Amino acid sequence: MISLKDHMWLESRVLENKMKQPWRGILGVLISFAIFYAIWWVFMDVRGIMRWYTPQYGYMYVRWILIVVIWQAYIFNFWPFSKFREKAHPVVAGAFFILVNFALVGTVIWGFFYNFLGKFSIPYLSVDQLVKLNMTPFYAREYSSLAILMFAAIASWLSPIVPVCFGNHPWQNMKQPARGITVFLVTLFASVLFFFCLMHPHYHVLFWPFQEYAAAYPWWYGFAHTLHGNYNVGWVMCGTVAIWMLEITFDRYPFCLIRNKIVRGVVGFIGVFAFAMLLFYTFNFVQDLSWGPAVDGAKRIYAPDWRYLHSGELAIMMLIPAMILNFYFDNGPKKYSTPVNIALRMLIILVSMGVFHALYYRFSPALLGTQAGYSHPQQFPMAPGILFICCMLFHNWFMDLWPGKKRVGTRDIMLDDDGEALEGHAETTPSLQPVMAMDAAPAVLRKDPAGEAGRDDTAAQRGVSLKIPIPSGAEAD
Amino acid sequence: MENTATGQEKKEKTGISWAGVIVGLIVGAGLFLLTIQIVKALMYSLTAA
Amino acid sequence: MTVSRRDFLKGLALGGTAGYLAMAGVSSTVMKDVFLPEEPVGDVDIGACKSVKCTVVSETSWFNNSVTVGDMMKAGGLLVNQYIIPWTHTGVKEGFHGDNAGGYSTLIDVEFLDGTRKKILLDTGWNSNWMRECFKREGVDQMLQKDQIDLLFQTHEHFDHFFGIEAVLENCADIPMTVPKGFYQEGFDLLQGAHFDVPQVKNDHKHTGELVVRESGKVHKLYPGVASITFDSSIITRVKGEQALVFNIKDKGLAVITGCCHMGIISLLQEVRHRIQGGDKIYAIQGGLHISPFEDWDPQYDDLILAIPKYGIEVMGCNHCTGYLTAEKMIKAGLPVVEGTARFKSRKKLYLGNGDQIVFG
Repeated sequence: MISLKDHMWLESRVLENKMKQPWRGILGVLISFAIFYAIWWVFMDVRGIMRWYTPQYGYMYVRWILIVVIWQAYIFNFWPFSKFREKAHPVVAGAFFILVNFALVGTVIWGFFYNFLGKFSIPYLSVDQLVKLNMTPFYAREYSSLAILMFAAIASWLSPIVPVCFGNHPWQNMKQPARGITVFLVTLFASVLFFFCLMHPHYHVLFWPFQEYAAAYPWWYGFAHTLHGNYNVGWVMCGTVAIWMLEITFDRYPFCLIRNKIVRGVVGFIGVFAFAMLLFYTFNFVQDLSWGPAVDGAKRIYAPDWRYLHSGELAIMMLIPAMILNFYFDNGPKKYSTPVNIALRMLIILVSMGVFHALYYRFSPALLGTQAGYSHPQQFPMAPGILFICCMLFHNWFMDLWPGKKRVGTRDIMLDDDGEALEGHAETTPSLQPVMAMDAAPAVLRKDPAGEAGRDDTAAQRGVSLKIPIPSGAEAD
Repeated sequence: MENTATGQEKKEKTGISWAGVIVGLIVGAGLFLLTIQIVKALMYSLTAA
Repeated sequence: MTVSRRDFLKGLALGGTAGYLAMAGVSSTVMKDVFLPEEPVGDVDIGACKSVKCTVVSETSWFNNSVTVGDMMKAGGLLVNQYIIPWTHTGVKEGFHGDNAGGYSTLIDVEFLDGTRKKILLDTGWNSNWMRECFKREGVDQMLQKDQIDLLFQTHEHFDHFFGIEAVLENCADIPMTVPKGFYQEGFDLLQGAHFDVPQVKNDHKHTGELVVRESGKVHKLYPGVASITFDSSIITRVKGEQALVFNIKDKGLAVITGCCHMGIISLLQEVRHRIQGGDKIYAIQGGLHISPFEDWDPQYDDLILAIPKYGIEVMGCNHCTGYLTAEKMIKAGLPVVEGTARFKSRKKLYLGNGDQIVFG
């Protein structure tokens, strides 16, 4: 048995709307965008201060910011700062946890990769080591950045699988930091394995002579028509988007209908993988239709490897509207049945994706300092895209979507071994009466409990039953 | 405990019209074909690459 | 809402989503070929010629890589207009009397089926003093003075291919000339006689001959068996447009000659295949292939090396911006790269260097 707070603090939040739509949504997007743009200008923009968008160097930091956010909020449940998280004002909490995030990112990259693993294990993980081997400093930094960011990219694809598909099973009852350390180590192990199989072969051919003894030849060449690791970058990105969309757009439907936890986890995992492959193939196909098929050995827009990368970029351009819809606009219409709601969400997301795509390529050179065109090497939408996603996560997970929403309390619910709320134990803290959330939809990234029932008229919620049922299959995660 | 949401979902599950599903399949497939034609028409020409 | 309408809508939503995703899956995999157009086959007949001799007047565009890259970075990066970059012209040990600038230029001698010949000068190099020495070495200066060169084919406006224009025009101001669409005003001004102090480039001999701007998207027939194709590529240091020559050598196949091939060698070969008759057999390529000019690498270039054999190329006379690393890898992969002699400041024998010649046909 474990309390919902100890299991997933974010899901125990009760958030009350403080503004009407659409202003709440618009303000929320603007705040996230403001945080994004400040960080982009200081650290990334080629016209700004640090100018890290080269693009791989800055993108490396962005990818690690994302996985560290997931560690902070998802894996470690804000440990050891959970009490501070609960008590601090959203702006203070936001600033604090962002600083902690940056400090951790710096430690991982400079401490772990550059000065430990890169020095004593694999040279391409360290810029200095590559430069010592007479590589041009600019390329040394780009090559090592790609490797380091791919660790994070693979981890951020695999990490959500544990809570989303398996409900943290079999560690769902462990307290922090034991649970955090366990899940972290399990996903670290899986990430390292996947990295070695998916990205390490890229480094076989990146250096000359070919690193025949240290890395496998890119085994995907026969069907992918490229030796480049971008083939795997593409589908891993689609996998990441697939799992997040399962969580925030599909509400884990239809997998949540499966009662047996293990079957649900396995079928869910396979389903996510199938959805990821569908996205990957479809985005590749759409590019072939638009520009003509990729040509083996070609460069820029005809390069097979760039097409695969671009499929991943298109997936991110789908995830961003999905997240905006979920975080800021209450996940679209709710008045119909689940399948209809989900279908309408997908329609909104697809149309928004098209609009976002057009606006991005039109304005990114002026706004973000990227190069024009689709396939220019300095046009890399994943860098600003994922940084913007991180800022939305900062705003939600660290700042409770302030000021559009206000956290008025937390739900004290005990969960049984299956992650279901125990009958008769759905108590609230006194301050929460009467703004108890109606439905307990305990997916962290999904509709917030109060946001759905708590539209503009919070009075409608007063006097609501204290029993918080959790739908079977919708694990407390 | 009465699992309201599950009950709701059970009700929803049994209340699906198969005629609707078949029409939906055809409409959905057609919508995808329409999507790719729109995308193809909207994509920039080669010089934008 | 009545129950049955609700149920119908639910079914519609479920079926619609499933149908959408299923059609996405099917059309992007098993039905893909139904949707994608067939690959076009080239149908433009450019005639035929007997043989083509290329003399590498100069392929050493500069003498020190890091100085060139450093000049661009110090000026603000790869997008800075080449006419405002203060290129280094002194103090470079490997340079031409300390000058880092060299240049790229090739002399092409075409023999037609009736035995007549024409000469094409491809590009003008960069450093006029260096180019004067190279032109003298190969007799190009004399040929220009005697109007023996029929065409100045300017592949693109890059500094190392065009800034040496004075060394050509001082010998033959009315030489017929062709440039690709995309040439900037500064380029036209230079042709008319201009001084650019920052990059230290000038021309005091106004071009008085015919100047043709070649558009992209079509095959331009120049002589029997000789044509050109233009690409719209946007290139570093604010340059746009590049054109390449295509020769149809009787009984051998097509030979493609480039300056830098910024558009990509595969794109060029594909364009030739899709537009020009006989494009399914490209017998030779010559010129800069712009793969690893700064000796960086990307597995995409390995993809290229693996893809080239299927074009049927029998002779590869690559140099200049191809990159030594690329040439080494191509040779290791068994591609027919022609060795050079590493004379006249060309550094390695890996490929054709300054003063080397190759004959197609």
